[in-house]
Amino acid sequence: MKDMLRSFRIFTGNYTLKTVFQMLLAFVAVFAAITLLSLIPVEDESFAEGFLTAFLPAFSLFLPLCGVFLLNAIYSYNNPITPGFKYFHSLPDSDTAYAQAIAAANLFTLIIMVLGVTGHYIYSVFAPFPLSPMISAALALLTTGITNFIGNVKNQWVRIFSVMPIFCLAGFASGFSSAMLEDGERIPDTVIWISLGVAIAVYVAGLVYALATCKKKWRRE
Amino acid sequence: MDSILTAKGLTKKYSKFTLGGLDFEIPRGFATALIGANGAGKTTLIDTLCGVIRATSGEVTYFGEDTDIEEAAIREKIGYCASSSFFPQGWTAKDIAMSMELAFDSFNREKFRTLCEQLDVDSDITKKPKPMYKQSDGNRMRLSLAAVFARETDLLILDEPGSSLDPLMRDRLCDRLREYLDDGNGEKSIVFSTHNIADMENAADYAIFMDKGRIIESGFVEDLKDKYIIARGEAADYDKAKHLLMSHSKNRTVFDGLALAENAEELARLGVDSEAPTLQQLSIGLLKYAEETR
Repeated sequence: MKDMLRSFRIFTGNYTLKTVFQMLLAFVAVFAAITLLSLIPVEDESFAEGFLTAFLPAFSLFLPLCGVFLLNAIYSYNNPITPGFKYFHSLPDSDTAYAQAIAAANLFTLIIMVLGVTGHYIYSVFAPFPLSPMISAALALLTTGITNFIGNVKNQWVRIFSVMPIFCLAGFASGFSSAMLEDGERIPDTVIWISLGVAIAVYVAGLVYALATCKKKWRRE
Repeated sequence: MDSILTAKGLTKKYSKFTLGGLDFEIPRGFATALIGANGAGKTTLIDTLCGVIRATSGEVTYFGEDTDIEEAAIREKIGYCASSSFFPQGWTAKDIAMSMELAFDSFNREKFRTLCEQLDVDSDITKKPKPMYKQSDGNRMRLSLAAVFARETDLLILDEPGSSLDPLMRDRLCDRLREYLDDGNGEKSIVFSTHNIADMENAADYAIFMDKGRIIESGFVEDLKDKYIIARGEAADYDKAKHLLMSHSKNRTVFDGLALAENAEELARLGVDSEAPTLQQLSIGLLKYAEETR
């Protein structure tokens, strides 16, 4: 654990964690601002309700995904076009440090994900919220798993097209949930648990693949 | 020659460029300049020597005994600095100090601070230090050099350290390189690359000239100055002398060019004067010759 944190700090300095923390704060602030705005009494409440139902579910999906930025930051240093590539590749035991930093980034991603999903859950207890926190968690795990699979791929198009379906899926899930809520229904629990199970499987497979191959990929140049 | 680094058949192949196979030695206790035009392969060679990229084939012996750059002990002894974008763009001096302190046993934070002060850049105790992307190329290089010099190393490998520095700072860098060698009592060595040796002529003891991925000449600067001459004559004498010149430049009245010192007497008989070349003249002459005979 100590080595993992050491390696993570070698790769991120203070900068990356600070950026992710700022991003989290920004999300929470926007979330809180929208919630407060929705509490202001207005004549036509249907607009506020519609806005909340459509916007918040999509927005809430991004909160658990903040951790993925950490993971991507570490992976990016294995791309020669990224500033820092040469510094990190010249370090003693750089391949081991890279593997440990990826493990640590996964850990931090999970922690951020748990915090995000918990926040999402707490919010859904107090306000009508169409999207299940479990769906939100499943999508975050799926994205992290895919990020672990494609982390060392240099081709930007492959990277974009690999993650794009997840964002489409996120939009589809929030739209679908909102529509169901309007009809007084929710996504069945079985679907939610199956989604979560698939996402956990993809995440674990991605993590195992990343840790098994990252040293070799670090030395490929 | 007592070498700190020896390469045999060192080759790095890319789809459109091949470095090598190179056989060369870097003398212990001296500063070696890698000189070549843009695209000669200096950076590829440096990156290969420092383990940033892997050689396709060949072997490098470091410090007379080890051949595996993956060994942490070798990397601890090498101070490497790339020509640009060495550190992540969002990093400040604080991030650099933290990362290097964790990565290298010999990184000295106090020394880093002092060097940053001397080089007039932000240090890890500067309030609100600027990230790399907000700094000029010159300041980024100064900060990178401060980080490298803050470690205890036996071999410095610097890629174009002077290219983004102003003349005064280049002069200070040359002094700093000489101090590094003097502190090492003949045990410490430096390799630096440059495409413009004029600014760092005083820093080089040994020179390796490169063209299109191969070494075209190498040796101690003083020996090379004995081996070659710069010939100067009237334009009218050019046709008689041209078979003795390796490369030349000519206008309507005069010509000059690089020639082997062994031809000095024959050139003198033709009425052509000769003098010892500067490293800059040697570089231009040899690189021109390589280009013409490619």
